[in-house]
Amino acid sequence: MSAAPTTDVAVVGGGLIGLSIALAVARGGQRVTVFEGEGVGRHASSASAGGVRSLNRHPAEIALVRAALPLWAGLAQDLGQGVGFFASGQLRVAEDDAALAALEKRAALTRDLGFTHEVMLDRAALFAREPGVARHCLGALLVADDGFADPLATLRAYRAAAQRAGVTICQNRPVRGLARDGGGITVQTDTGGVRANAVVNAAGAWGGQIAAQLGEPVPVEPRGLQMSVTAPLPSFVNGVIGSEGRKLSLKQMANGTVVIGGAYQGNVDASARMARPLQRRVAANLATAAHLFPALAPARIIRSWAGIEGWSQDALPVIGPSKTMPGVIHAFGFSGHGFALVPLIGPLVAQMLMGKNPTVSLTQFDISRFSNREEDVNYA
Amino acid sequence: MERVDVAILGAGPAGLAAATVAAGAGLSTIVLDDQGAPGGQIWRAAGDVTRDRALARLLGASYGGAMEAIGAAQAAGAVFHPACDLIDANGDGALVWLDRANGGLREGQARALIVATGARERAVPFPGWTLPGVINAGAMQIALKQGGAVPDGPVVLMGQGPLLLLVLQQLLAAGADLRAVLAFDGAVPSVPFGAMARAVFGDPGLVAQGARLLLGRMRAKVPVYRDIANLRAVGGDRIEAVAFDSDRRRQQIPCTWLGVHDGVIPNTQVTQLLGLAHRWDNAARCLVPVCDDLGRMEGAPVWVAGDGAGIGGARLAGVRGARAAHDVVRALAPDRHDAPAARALAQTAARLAPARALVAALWPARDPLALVDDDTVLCRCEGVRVGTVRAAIAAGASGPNRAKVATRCGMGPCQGRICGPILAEWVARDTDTPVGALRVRPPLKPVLLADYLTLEQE
Repeated sequence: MSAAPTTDVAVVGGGLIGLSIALAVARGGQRVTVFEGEGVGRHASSASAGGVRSLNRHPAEIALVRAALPLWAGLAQDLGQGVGFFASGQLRVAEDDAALAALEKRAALTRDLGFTHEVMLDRAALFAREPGVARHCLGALLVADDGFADPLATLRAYRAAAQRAGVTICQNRPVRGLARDGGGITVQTDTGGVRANAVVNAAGAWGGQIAAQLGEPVPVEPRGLQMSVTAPLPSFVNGVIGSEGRKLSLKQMANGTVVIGGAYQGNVDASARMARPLQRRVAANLATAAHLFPALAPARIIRSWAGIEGWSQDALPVIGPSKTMPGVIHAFGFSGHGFALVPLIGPLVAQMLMGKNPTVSLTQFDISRFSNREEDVNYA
Repeated sequence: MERVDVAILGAGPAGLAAATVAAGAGLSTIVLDDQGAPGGQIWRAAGDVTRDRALARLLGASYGGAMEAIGAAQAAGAVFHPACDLIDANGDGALVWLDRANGGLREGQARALIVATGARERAVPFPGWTLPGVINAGAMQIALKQGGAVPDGPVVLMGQGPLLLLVLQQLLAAGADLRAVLAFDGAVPSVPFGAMARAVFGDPGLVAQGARLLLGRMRAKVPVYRDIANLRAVGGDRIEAVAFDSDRRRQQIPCTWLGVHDGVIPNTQVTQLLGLAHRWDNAARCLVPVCDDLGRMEGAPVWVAGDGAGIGGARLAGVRGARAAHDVVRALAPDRHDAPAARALAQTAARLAPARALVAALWPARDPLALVDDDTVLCRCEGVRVGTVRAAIAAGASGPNRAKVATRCGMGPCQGRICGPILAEWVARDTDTPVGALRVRPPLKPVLLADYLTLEQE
């Protein structure tokens, strides 16, 4: 029997996270093979709303996303083609006194953590920045250097850059298991095994299944975040807009279309790997948007969609080495807000694979936080 | 929320026949249709056309049985919802539609869904096909049917198939200034004798009608060009001429309208939206829903009937609609199932089938990319060109949805209705993979945000 084909690093999952990792590792001189069960970017990556947001992040993620932001500004140049990034700012408006108080509390929390990127805007400052926002709004929390990018353009750019860097991308090749094999790991697929020195689990909503197979289960729930897009409208909003206490994320793309989402969940059929939006929730989402922006009154909705994303129990990603199989590094479960982190995760995981300490601390995202062992360690 | 036993999508021959059977068996039945009056495309504006003497003379031959079918569905108690656009549906029978007459979105829940959304014209991309004035020949016929509008200025027709021959006759009769026909087919297409004999035996009326149309083209005093190559619609704001090679000679014919038709394919937007299985019909070069003889699809209480289940023509559509509805009755109310009637319909369907097979043999579908160059727009909504798609396929976009994500082809408001079938066939051919269907997202047609606000929110 001939020896199994080999690669230096195998990446499980051909979404944006997997491609970013594959690119960074290949640039470090390693041979990289990406195993994608369906097509590149099939689920969360192509369903993304494209938000590049550090505003109102979980405290554990703030340092990470603030480190990712500068990379977006240079990403098109780095990848050799456009990603549609625009530092439009992101705002979270307050529609009543309670919301205003909540935003002020949030701003104080971020300040106490030593960050200065979140800034309160009063009513006048909000309307000066966003003249199109409804007059009942009382203020907003702003991150001026946040923005958005075009997820499909980003996907194209990463794919092309990875291929140029020599990454092999295997589509329609789901990974069935990982097996220790002497000093390496065999990646098992339906068409045979591939030996690798190291493996990265970037399988998104299915990353938990890989971890479970390694004996370190992580609860990852597949969720389908709903999004809708309008036909082009005259420009009426500059930044990406959310609203405190409401489910909304709204942005107007360069072509005038408006993308409206905000954590409404569609129907997920996990076995068929399909998600579909629910129209009553689309209606609720659009009602919130229209309440905030009178200019949306004549809008036409041309498409709604939902894509499957992996939600971890604490809505934070799992990033770091496996505790049960040396040579495996996890990077999955980004819980609906991984897009902004994409340019950073690749280099960080590449650093880990080279045995270096990542330049941004990842200890809070270690997989051991889900096991009892972590408690044992903490209280020892 | 309107709860019914049966919801029928489409009020053409198939939908009306289905409604007659389902409602006749006592099942609560609604029929949704995007037009303001029942009849579908073939019997569009049936009431007006049959009342208007001039129009009836011009178009009447196709309207045989229309008023009877409409009357039968109404008499059986089917409730017709006119001017309604389906927005979303799922495999559990939940429906959302836009009620254009009354405004706003409505919700329905049916125990069974019969999809009778008919056919649509195959898209024929070529350089300049996006210029105003280049339209489907079927659209010219729609204009005739709705108030007898005749295209102004010189007209050129291009393509093949019975509808094109019919439109040619109707335009001439209506006094249109027809300058040329660019024919994809021969003067008298050849067919095996056996196929002809079976067709004549099964449906002599249809065969006679076809022969009349072919003769009509020969007798028409309009130049017919064949072996068309290097075709281009020429113009600034709209088409001013059509230029092409024929018999190795360059031709340029001034026109203000170019009517294009290359046969019809099943309208599968709804079954694609439902996420149900489709297969590629290689002879007809189109996707068809996977269903049994009675139209039942797998995995959901969904039946598909008429041309939407595979092109069969209007007469067969009525039979297939009725057969699907009998099967729905058998599933929902077995004690009311009329087995003898269903058996008789099966025999009728078998008798009519060869004539349709003859039509398919006479006008085989062509390579949809026969007339394009790299600069030709394929996706009109997003302005995606053939060369861009070609590059994406070469870079690994193995499947229509992957090509869509890579290029935005099929991502615009029409949801790939026009370019999707071409994209699907092309990607499959170049990557040697089975032809797949584009994923279709709601809303099936663009909907005003204000209309969504009429929906119950959750």
